[in-house]
Amino acid sequence: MKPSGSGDLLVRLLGALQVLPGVGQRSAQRMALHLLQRDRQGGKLLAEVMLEAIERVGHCQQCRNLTTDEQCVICRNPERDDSLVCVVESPADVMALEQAGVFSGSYFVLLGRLSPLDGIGPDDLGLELLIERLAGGAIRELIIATNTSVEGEATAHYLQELAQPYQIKVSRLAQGVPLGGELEYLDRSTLALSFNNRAEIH
Amino acid sequence: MSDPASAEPGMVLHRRVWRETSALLEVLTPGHGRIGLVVKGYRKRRQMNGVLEPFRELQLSWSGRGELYTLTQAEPVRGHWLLSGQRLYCGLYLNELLWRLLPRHDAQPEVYTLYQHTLDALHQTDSHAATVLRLFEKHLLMLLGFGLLLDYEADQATRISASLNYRYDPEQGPQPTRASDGINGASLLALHQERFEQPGQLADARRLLRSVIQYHLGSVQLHSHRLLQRY
Repeated sequence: MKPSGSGDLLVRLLGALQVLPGVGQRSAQRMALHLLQRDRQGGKLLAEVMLEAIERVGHCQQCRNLTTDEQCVICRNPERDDSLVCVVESPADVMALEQAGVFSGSYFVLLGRLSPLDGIGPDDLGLELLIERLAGGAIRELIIATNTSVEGEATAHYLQELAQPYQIKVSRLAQGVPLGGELEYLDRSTLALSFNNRAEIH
Repeated sequence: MSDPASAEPGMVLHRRVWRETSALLEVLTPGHGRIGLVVKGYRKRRQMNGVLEPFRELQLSWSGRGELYTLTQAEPVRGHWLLSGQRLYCGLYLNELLWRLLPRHDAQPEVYTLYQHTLDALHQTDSHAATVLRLFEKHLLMLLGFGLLLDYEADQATRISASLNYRYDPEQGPQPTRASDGINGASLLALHQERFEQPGQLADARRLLRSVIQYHLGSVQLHSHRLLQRY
């Protein structure tokens, strides 16, 4: 049996903190000492909230985004247009789009992307839920907002084929020159894409 | 194979996250074969991220020795092979096959050339994707020393007859069989001549190549098959 003294508990805390991304031995030590020496109250709150979040946060039954309820805030909001569905890879993408404030429809979160070389196939993306919604007939447009990586493109194509039988509008986020971007420094493939997808000025 | 390299051509076959902040690339090069490159601080080097994608030729520099090298620089050489739709799935299959079948650090310039020519063919939308894939598989096996015997029986003396059925042993070659699940002699010859004129010959070639490839992969399972049911 290992001794279960205070030294051992401290070691366990240091180890536990390192599950966080970007936290190594040194950062873990700084965090642990800060909580124990300066802010035990804050540490307690952190532990409680974290435990509660881990126990209670699940996935929205309609869009798979993170939520504590059966349906997330966005899906529950009657002001939002259910007939527009924007498909994204992760909850972080939902947050980004919400902060951009351009979209007032609903989402579908894949929680991943097709990545055949990693063994992630269509069955791993919860698509039966999306098919259900498509078959329900209430969707007017599917907006595909997967990343522009090769896997994101493969996913986009798969979604497009999936939507085909339902004869709804399928669109994809435009690709092009970023705001404030200088052509000279732009990646040549992005430049070529934005050239090919150029838009008429009205 | 331990020296650093600078401005070597190469193409990314696969990229995955590696120890939180880094990425691990599987790269095919003409001069060093398949190599593993670690990209440190991957998430912060946004400029590089868009570049380190499959289906584009890069100039790569790396340092280090041993099994994995560290990427120091990457520049795109020319535009993408912009594959879309089913062609993209086909491209991913090529990548998975090369990743799984090629040993690391085994320089095979011909494999690199074959890969690029195959991408050229897939990129032309009027090409027949299934034929392109079958020829890639056949030539890849040949370059790796696993070439198929398609015009003679396993005894290397008797010519294949178009009217017989054969059982294909991955080590020995075709042997005549009465079993109905064998492969047709005409299909073997079609693959030999790379002309698939009769219906079913391409499907026979697919079945044969897939079983031989699986033999050489051992217990490794390819995943991109699931997306490629049509080819």
